[in-house]
Amino acid sequence: MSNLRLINETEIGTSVLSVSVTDVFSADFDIYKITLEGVTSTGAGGLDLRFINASGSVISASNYDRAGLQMRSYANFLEYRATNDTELQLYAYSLEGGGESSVGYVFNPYLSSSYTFSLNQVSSYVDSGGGTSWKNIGVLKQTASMTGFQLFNSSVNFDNGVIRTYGLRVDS
Amino acid sequence: MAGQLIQVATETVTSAVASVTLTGIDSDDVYMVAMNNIVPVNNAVNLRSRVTKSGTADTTSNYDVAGKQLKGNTTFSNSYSTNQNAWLIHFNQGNLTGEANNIIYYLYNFNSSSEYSFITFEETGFDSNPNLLGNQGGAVHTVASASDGLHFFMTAGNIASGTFTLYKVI
Repeated sequence: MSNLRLINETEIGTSVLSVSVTDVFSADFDIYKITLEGVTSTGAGGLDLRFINASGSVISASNYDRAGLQMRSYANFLEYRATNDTELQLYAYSLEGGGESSVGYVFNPYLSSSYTFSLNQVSSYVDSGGGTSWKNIGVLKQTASMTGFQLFNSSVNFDNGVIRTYGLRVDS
Repeated sequence: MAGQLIQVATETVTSAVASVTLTGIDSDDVYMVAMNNIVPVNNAVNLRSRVTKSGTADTTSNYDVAGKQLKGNTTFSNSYSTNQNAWLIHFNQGNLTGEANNIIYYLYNFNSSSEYSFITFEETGFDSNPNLLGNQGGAVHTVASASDGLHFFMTAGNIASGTFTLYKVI
C-alpha cells in the first residue's frame, strides 16, 4: 500500500472567490502534499492561502511570513516577500490563460508545538507575457493545530480545477 | 498507479543523536526523502548531508550544490559550492520556539554504479534569527558509483528532533 494517502479531493466549481478544504490535517500525518490542477479565471490574480484551525476558524491574523520567486519566460525574475502578513499571498498566481497547476507540501499543521510551514511550486501562463513558474515558501507563526486551509481571491473569481490533499504516512 | 510512495526507512529523533542514516536504496527508481520539524541541540548550526556507500557516509570532497535561498525578510541569495565534503544546503538552524526545518529531497541515479548521484531539494524553515528561510535547488555527488542512502548531521552538536523518512517513488 502506498504511503501517499489521498485524503480529500475538492472540485473548485465555477465563479467562486474562495474554496475551503476542511478536516484534512490530523494526527495521522505530519507532512501533506497538496496539488492544484487546472484552475482558470477571466482575469489575472493570485490565489492566497490561509489555514483553518481546529475550531473551524480561518486564520487571518498577521502571523504569516512568505517568500516567492517568480521565474518568467518573457522577462527577468521577480522576488516577493513579506513578514507578518494576513495570508500567504500569491500561493498560486496568474489564473488567466487557464491550466494553472501547483504542487507543494505543508508541514506540521496539526502539531500544536510547531509552526505550520509550506512550500510549493507553480506553473502557469500569463496572457500578457507567457509561461511563468513560481517557487514559494511560507509559515504561519502560531503554535496551534490547523485542520484545513482556504484558497481565495478578494476580487477575481476563479473556475474549474481540483485540489487534492494527500498525507505522507510514516510507519514506525 | 504512478506516483505511489513506498517507505524504505525512517527515523524519528526524540532524544538527541549525532546523526541520522537512511539506507535501503537498491533499485533504479527515483527516491524521495521527507524531513520535518528538524531542530538542532545547538543554536545557529547547519544541517549537512552525505551519500552513503554500502551504509557508510562518503566524506570525500565531491559534493557540489547550487540553489536559490528564498528569504521572508530580505533579498534572496544564491547558494553554491563545489568539491565540499558534504552537501552545503541548509543553513543557520535555530532551536527556539518555532525554529525548525522542513525539507523534501528527490534522489536520482543513486543505484547506478556508472552515474553520479543527484538530488533536488526544497526547504522551508525558520532560522535562528528568526526568519523564514528556504533553499531550493539541486546537488550532485561527483563519484560514479552506487549510493545506497543518505547521512545527516549538524556542523556542531547533535540533532535534537525531527523525522527523516526515505521513500521509493513508483
